[in-house]
Amino acid sequence: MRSETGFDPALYDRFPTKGGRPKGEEEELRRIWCKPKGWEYLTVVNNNYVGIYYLGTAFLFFLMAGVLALLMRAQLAAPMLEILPQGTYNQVFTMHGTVMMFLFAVPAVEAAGVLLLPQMLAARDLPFPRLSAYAFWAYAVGGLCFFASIFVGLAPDGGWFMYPPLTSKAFSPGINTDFWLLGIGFIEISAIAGAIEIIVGVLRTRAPGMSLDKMPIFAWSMLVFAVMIVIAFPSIILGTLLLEIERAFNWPFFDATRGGDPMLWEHLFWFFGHPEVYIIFLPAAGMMSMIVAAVAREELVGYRLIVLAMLATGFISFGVWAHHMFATGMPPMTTGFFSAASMAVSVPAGLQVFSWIATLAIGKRSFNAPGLFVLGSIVIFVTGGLTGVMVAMVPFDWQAHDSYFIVAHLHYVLIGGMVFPLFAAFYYWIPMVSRRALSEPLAKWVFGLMFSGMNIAFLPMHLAGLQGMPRRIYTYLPGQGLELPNLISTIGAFMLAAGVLLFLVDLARNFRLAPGGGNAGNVYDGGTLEWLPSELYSTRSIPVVRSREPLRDDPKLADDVAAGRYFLPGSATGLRETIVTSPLLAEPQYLQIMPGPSAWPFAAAVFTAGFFLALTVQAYMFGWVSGVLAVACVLRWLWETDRPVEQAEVDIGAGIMVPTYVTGPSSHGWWAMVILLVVMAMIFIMALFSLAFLWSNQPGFWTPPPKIGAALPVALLYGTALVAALAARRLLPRGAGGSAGLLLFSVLAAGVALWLDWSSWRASGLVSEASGQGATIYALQALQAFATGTGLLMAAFCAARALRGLVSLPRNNSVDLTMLFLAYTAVQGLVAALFGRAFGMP
Amino acid sequence: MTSAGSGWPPAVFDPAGPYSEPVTTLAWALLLGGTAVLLAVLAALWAALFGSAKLKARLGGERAIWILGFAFPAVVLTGLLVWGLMLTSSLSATRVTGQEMRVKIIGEMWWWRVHYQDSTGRETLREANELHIPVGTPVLLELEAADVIHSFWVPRLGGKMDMIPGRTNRLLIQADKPGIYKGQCAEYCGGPHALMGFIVVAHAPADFARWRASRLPASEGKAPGLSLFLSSGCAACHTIRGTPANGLAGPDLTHVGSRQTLGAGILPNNPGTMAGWVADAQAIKPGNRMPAYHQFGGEELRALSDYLVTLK
Amino acid sequence: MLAPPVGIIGELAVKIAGVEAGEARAGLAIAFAAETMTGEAGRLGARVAAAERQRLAGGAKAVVMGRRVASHQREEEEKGSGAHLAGTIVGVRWFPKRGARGCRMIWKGGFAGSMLLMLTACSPARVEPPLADAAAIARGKAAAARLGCGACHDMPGIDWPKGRVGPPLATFGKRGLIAGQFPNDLPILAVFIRDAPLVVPESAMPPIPMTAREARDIASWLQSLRD
Repeated sequence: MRSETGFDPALYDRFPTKGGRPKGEEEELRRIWCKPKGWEYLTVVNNNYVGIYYLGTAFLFFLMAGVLALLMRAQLAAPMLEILPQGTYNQVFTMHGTVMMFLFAVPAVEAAGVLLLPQMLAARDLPFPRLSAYAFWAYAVGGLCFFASIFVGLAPDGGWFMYPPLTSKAFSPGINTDFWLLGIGFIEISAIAGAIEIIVGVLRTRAPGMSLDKMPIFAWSMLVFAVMIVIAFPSIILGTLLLEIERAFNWPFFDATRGGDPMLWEHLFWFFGHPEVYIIFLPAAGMMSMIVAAVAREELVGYRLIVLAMLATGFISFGVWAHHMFATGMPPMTTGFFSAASMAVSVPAGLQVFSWIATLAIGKRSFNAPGLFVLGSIVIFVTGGLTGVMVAMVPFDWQAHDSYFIVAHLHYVLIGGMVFPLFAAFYYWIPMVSRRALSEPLAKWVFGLMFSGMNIAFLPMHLAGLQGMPRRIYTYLPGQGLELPNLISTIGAFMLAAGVLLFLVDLARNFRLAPGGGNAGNVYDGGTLEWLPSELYSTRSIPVVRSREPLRDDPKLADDVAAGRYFLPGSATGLRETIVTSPLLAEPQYLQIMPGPSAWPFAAAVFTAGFFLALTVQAYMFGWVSGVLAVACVLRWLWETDRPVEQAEVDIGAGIMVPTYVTGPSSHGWWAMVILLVVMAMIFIMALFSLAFLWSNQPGFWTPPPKIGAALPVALLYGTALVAALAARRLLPRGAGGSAGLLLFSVLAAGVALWLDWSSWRASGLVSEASGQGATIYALQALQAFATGTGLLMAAFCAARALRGLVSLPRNNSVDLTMLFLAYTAVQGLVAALFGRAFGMP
Repeated sequence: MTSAGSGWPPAVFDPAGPYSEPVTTLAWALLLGGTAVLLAVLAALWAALFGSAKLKARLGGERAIWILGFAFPAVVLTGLLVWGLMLTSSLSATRVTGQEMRVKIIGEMWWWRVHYQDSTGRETLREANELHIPVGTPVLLELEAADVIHSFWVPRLGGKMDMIPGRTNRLLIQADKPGIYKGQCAEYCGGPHALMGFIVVAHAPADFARWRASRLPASEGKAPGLSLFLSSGCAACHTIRGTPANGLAGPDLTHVGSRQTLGAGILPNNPGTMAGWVADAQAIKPGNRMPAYHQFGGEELRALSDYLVTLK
Repeated sequence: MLAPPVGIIGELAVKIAGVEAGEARAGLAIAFAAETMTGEAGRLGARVAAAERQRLAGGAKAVVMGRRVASHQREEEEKGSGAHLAGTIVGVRWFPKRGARGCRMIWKGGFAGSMLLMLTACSPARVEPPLADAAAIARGKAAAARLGCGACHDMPGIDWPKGRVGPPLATFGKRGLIAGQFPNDLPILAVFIRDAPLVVPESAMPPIPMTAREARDIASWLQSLRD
């Protein structure tokens, strides 16, 4: 057997170990991973708690957005009703879409990842538990405040797609739109944080031996999901940033009268917005694949095909965004390309559906609760997929676009592709976290109501759309034949809601949280590692994985794991820890020391939310104070991390020794930083795209940029910054002080370069408020200023640690990561300086 | 004339011109084909659960997945794609012969300016909220937006096309039968977007010529309604050609009396609705740009609406 | 016909009474209110007036009015009562505006006639006129919806529009008066719906193009709105 890291796979044969374990070992694990008490529930970072909080909050948003949907259906039950006044309806439909997409769907699957992945991968926790906690609290606090805006009539009312110029200051002067732009801001931060966590978690904390081809399909789907977030979300982050800047400072990115272009927003939004659909769908499909296999009591047919299909979906989904824009007057060549891509993306979905059918065909037939929801999901999702192919046809889409046909289509896809799988997942995995499983007889009712309600609600909408009913209308005139379909839809919506209500009753009766063990266990006979007996420390020992469904293939596995006969049966260092393994073959590389509970992530999250919300309501002083406090809290929480432990190497079981502190490209911190830099680079690339787009679409507003030759000193300074950053890492063995000094020097050089660049643009007479070009050029510099400022904080952090003697020699993760960030900053600045001058050169 | 329709048959399945008919054919094909595929998938699902062991074995392998999940959709989708691409280019307004009637339509919050043009693109007539066309003639629409994004959609005559500030989009429509075709804004444009309707009136060629000839400027006259119109501020937003009223913010009212609807396709047009609209348009179409005019006494209001409905 | 002699009697009565114009007008409401109380017999007042109108039909001052009324008459299906009704309307229309003697006479006649009736026909009150047939009511509602009456009035069963310019018409069938002035009688109401200024000159409600039959249907529907 080949090896990835030099680890000898033969060592796996030492497991399960023979003989008993020392007394007190398990007690020590329990003590280290102890249960929180009282207020400590706010400061927990353990995924067993954070995952449940996260999922519960996401489900709460599902319920609240569902209530909004019922309000809308009541208003549309008959023509010209006045249950919701026009303005309120516009807020309600905007909030329904926004909350479902941003506050329910993405967080719910992310939460499922946080809750399930460590169990499935048999890790003690995700690699950045405090980051999970921060991501959750920022989302929960911010999301709830954002939702509350509807109770005071300040909710956004521009639709979840927020097209300018309707959402510009001129046509939406109130702060409603700012609630959306800033509210979505921190949810994006939260999603990115979760995505980084999941990528590193899936690739680096799998149980030893769990090579990529033995990874549970859900982990695969979460990996693709997280990578897609990293690529797609930067686009909407930039979009919301630009639109908020346009509103606050009057920089005309999207104002066609001043050289901006509303189409730029549509591109930025949908480059995020369509992958978003697959971002939601893929993890749910991953759950489906897991549940189908468990329900059929067979191994999944076409595992490789499904993985391929998911990768293909992720890839193609970045080439379909403009199918939301077929009616914007794009040339037929362009629409043809996007039409082809939109059809192509349905093929991998077909592969997955037939894989599930194949698995059901070879397996046992059972109509238990997860089984029913799986079947319902297939039927609904296939229907939605077929209407999806219909609207991928450009001429048909010209009719269907923005009509109720699309409303029907997207609800079939999202309910079939995400909500039903999620309910299947609830039934399937609740026994893992609850003392009792949910009720099977009640589940039949829940399913029956939800399935029939869903179809009764949304099937007639296809018809209403083809009758000419546009979307997003708060009412419709009588006499167009729309009364009956709408009434039926309303009845169906309330049936669907009744099903969900019944589910809540079931939850209230049977859901009893048992994170510390004593859960209902493997009710549905799954074969993957999350069904190992577990407590707050996850499994007692971390098994060697030799197949895709280890529990089925090795009936003794559960007992051996619980008896501590595998990796890491106790705590090697007396701290929270997990094994970091190699990305492909999952060979043990080192022992990661994990941070424990802390109030700082919670405080940082509250202040982050406070920062954004205070800016929204224009309480600037409070906002800036919150922002500074948020940064201070993050730094404080980081201060405790990155501390090498006394033992340089420890025994992780059966005499296998691994280091406890690793730096450089194999460390999990390095991975996370590289992913973060990908996010920053994507934001930056989208900004460059914006400049190029405005240049090609609004040439009349372009003024000649300063000479490219004049950028030479700027380029030299950025080069200096780059070299200084790289040298700081090189020279670290000679002393932390000099290294930190170099890092600070790098920041200084980058700052001066930015100032020079900015001055030359000012001297050329370009004004940010005057044209789209001016706005975008200065936005690029604002991005650069943000990167430089963050770099300064990081360099100062390193310097402070050097002063306190906290920088380990010869290698240190804090210095490494700061180096990476500063090197990136220098390159970004250089590209910005050259790119801006390249467009519109005489 | 056929009426604006009762919703049955659904507008998309009731095409009235060459730019909607092929789409209806496509829609039927997609709908029936899609239903057939759905039934096939359901049958496969049924077979997977309840079928014979042989059938189950056939379904339960990677071969079946490749055939049903990849090969079949790939073939069907390729065929559809070719059809779609051909239809897209034949329906697009990129193929303009110069024989089309030309009209510029500008979307406003929440109504439509309709500017008729001659073949050189010179404006010949301004109207609002109602597009009159002769049957059998392709009409090239130049679609623009004055404020936010709107979308022009008359399902029986063609697909929709967005109206985007800063751009001019082109759309071809044609009606083959005289009649009234209902349309509506399809892109959410805030406030009373739901009530931003309009109609297309297709006339037989002779009727169209007659209609066109009747589009003369209003005479100044001494109607008490006109002096009220001018003195009450109405003229700040509305134009009545042939009179000093030349406001541009609102619809041109030169021929408002001859329109079939008021308030952008939502109210019947008669002296009563006209008076109601003038006195309190906000009660009828909340959020629209026309304020309520409560200052008119009864006879004044009547004089005003009497005058307006006579503008034919 | 009964009308001419009654008219003469009425005229005499007015002469005897010597009521001044302003007082006559003030009395009008009472008279018509009394009519609704007295039911069918109250029609007499209208007939009185009608007689007067016919007498004055050739008068120059009534030219405009005559034309309008004539047009009503032509379309009126129930010719007879229509004529009487139109007479009432003429009176109402002309009296306050013009000081013409003939017109004043009409009013005095109408008023006096009513007064006589009040004295002579104190039959028990009948608050609600009988309902028209269901078909007419349904036609009326449809016509009201089609014509857009909702542009000014909030009307039960018409979801939209619900205008605020005119009074809401829920429970109109229980309303004693039309426009606060005239008995809520089907024929009067029908004319009012079709040509309100004819009845109340300062009304904001314009004449609305519809057939007399539609007007009657709408009136029937409005009178059926009793709860």
